[in-house]
Amino acid sequence: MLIDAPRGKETEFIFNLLHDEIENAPAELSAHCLSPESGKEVDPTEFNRKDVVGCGVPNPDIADLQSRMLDHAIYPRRVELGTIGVIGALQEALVWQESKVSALFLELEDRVANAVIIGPKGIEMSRKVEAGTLDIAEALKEELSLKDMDAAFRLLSSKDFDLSSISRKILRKLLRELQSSIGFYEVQTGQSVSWIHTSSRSVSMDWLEESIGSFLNLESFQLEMEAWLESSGVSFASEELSGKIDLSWIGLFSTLCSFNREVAAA
Amino acid sequence: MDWPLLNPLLFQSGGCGCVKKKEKKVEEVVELNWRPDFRDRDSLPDIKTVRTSFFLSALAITIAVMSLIHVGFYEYTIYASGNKIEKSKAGVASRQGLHVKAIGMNNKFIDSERRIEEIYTFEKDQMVASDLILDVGRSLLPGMSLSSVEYNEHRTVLHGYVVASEETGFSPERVCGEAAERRYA
Repeated sequence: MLIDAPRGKETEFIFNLLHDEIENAPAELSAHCLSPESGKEVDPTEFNRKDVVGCGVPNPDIADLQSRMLDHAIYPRRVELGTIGVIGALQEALVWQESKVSALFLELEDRVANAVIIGPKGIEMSRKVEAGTLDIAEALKEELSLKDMDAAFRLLSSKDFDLSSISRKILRKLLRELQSSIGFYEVQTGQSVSWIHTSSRSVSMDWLEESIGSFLNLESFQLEMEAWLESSGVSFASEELSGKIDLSWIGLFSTLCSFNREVAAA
Repeated sequence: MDWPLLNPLLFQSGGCGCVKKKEKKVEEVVELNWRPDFRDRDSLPDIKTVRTSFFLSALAITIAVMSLIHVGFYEYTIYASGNKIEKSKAGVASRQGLHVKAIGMNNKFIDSERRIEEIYTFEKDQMVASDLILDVGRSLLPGMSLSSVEYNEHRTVLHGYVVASEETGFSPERVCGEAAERRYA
């Protein structure tokens, strides 16, 4: 989330905000503050810019993840937030493509969706929308009068079922919020948002990105993954392997990149 | 919503949650853009098979002890040498009287030696009369006899007689005259 920096000077305020944002947040959080332009870690008490990006993870979650990894004899060298990595990767990709327009990154959780507008100069806007995967599934269940949620989830993740006729209805709340956010951003900055990239944590919904894109007049973000990764120093062992990689892998590959290019560009 | 109290330490050391842990192992932290590290090092087991820090401190202690021993050894050597010098100085002082005496005796000896040398040189060049007479007497032929021997620093004159028959025709005077011409070195 983006925090207004002057108010962010009070660390308690930042923590309160993070606690408000994270569902069922426990007492202890590990938090990092990043520059929205470069993604570089900053000290909010000394950072003079208007906004900072605050991100936090409950300490028990980290401990739990680490212990689960250790149980599988995996020793973690880093524990990173995929969302932040994808934001960095998208910004880097926009710079690499010499794009002048911004992209909407939508990440769906169970009850909320994080909408981030990313431009070549970093995070332009960030919003939390109170509509998640569960809300979409509930709407679908109601619309088709399904007997349980499992059936709704199966339909959502199905590749054959055509949801185009009812997608506007089940995405209504999400679309309304996104539309107002994008409209606000475009009016405020005079810049347009042209791309969309979505990711869903619990249910894979291949149709979602295209559907939202068509309603909001956005194109799916396209990226030549192989060339982009090679420009970041990541190469593939074989062509067969590189052919299997598409944009949905961006979160994973973002953990391999150092993202220094946008700093030079900024 | 009522949240439990926050852990203020998380933010005190530098503004970001994990900084407190970062300070412990700064060398491990690589700052990457858009990639904050949330790893909780304290809850991870130590996987260092070789404790390099132990090696480093052990090496440092060894070097320190070695230097100390080195310095100590040199200090002791200096101290011991100083003691030796003092002792030797005392020995020199105690033998000073004896030394002066010995020098006096040496001078006396050199004096006496010079005198002896002088007498020897003087005596060496002197011709001993008895030796001369014995030498000359040994070389006389049968019938020959000496009546007098005269010698000085540069020459020797022998006078004598030769008993001769008439056939040989030598007179004792002539022999005497010839003998007078002989030089005796």
